[in-house]
Amino acid sequence: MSTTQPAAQSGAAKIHVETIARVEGEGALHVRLKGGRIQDLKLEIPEPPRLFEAFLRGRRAEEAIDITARICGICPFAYQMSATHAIERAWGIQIDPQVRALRRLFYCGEWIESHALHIYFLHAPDFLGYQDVLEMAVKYRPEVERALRLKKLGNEIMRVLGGREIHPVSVRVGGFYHVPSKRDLQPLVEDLKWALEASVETARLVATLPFPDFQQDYEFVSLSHPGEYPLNEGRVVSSRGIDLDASEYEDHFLEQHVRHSNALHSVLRERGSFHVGPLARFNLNQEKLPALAQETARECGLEAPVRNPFRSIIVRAVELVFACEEALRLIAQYEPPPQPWTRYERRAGTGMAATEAPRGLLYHRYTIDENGLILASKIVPPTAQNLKRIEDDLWGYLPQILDAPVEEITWRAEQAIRNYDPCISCATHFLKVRVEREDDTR
Amino acid sequence: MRHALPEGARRTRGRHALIVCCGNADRGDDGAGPACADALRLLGAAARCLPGDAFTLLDAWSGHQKVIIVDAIVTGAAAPGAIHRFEIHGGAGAEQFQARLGSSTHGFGIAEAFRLGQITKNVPEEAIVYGIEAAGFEWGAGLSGEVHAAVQRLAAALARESAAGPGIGAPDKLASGQ
Repeated sequence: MSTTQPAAQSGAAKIHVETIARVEGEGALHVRLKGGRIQDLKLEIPEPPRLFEAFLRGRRAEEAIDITARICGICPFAYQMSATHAIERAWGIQIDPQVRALRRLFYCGEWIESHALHIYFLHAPDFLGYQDVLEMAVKYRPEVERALRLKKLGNEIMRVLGGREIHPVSVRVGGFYHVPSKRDLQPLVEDLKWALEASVETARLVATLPFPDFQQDYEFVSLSHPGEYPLNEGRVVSSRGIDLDASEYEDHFLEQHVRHSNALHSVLRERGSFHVGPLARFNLNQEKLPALAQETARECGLEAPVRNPFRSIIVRAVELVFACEEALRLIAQYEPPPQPWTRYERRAGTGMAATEAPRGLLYHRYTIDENGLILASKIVPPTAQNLKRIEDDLWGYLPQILDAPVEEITWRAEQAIRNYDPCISCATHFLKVRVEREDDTR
Repeated sequence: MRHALPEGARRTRGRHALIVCCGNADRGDDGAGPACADALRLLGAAARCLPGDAFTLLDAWSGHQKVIIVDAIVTGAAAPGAIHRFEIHGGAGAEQFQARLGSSTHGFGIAEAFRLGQITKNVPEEAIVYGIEAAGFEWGAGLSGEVHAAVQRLAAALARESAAGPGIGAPDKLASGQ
């Protein structure tokens, strides 16, 4: 592979990123260049689909909560929440307000764990010029220790509420199998106070990173709730006027199969790709962030709409501040519900719900028969919704850097892909990214 | 206020070797670690099971001077079920462990955990990694017969060591394939 010759001067070339590191899973990026222009660009997802929707058929609806949690080890609670809410909507279940608050606290833990991992361990090395966090830790030891402690706190919130950090076991239709006492939550408070400060420091740190000058005219899509920054409830809204209930999601959003990807590509009908995730949430809900998160965003120069996807690392840090603030508020106001879960009756019906996984909107639909068995289901993970958008970003971004050596193009392409913190494990099974280049002038 | 744990119990942290078993029970022989933890519990020995990435190792071993880690590995140089033994002192030796590995199914592996532990000054003084050579990592498959037998042998030996008292005088006679 060439190391010094600029890509644009080399005639025809192929860039093939064999393995995209620091993403969850495996995929491949294939770029074909000719005459300094991109001829073809594909984010290939060659791994087989996981077929969760198929093997949910015939299972009891309640089982979907623990089965779909297995789709992801980073955000299992998001899957549990979208599944639970969809089933509760199908069966007309109203949950206790304190159960709702606990679910929100649970979500804060997952965001803290996932965002800390992505900011420090997966994305920051790109900006700072390190191959990985181990290289980065030599110079940035206090920052890496901060990240480890943040991640540990996120995991601890998950453990306290869910019994274990990964694939928690407390969630059920109508509420929880077990809810914590006020005393159970108190040990989290001091750590959360530390984490709040650490999150502000994180935002200040990442705001100083060098950001490529690149903007796109995105259609941002996220949940929106009238009184709170979205986690587990809200309408599906977009920056171009969409405002709908989750039950109408499939009327507007399509999944398409493309030959080079076993993960489906989502598009908006007659409009194309769209953007879900922290940038979308922030741009559509900035005013609902609590005071310190808003102040931190201003201090870091963020003002909606942020259209540079590389600055999503700052938005994630602002969302860390939010998650810590919100967790402290929820713990301070928590009273155990009279019953951990609401009784219900199974009935035939269809329920749809969307919640905000760390990586963006996560949609579930279940059709259930009169015995409570699943007849059909649909799961649309955030990474699947972003895949076409990632390709579109690369089509827009790579022409800016085609004069650079192949190694730098590869580095920047991977960095651009990681703007979306893609979780190919969720979208299919693994993610590989492959960059390959050949020069037909040789 | 009286402490929740008797004095003797509180003192044990750091003296006894912590046993940590890594892996994914749903992924064929990657379940060697979880299976070993289960076997150890049946034999009355305490073991922690870590199903996630190896970042959690840093939390698990924090404050422990002596650690035993059980995981499935693929070196390609031994038959399935072979038990490899690696000694790592103060993090040194993790490179040797890394070099023997063909790959890790964990996004952030054990060798990286030792390296990061060295950098952040959070690494056990003494560690032994038992790597059980795996035959396959197919989703939904159980343990292969060879790995199942190796897990039982290793768990029995570790349980005997644990019952014998503090220390890390590990059953190195079990190790093979090096």
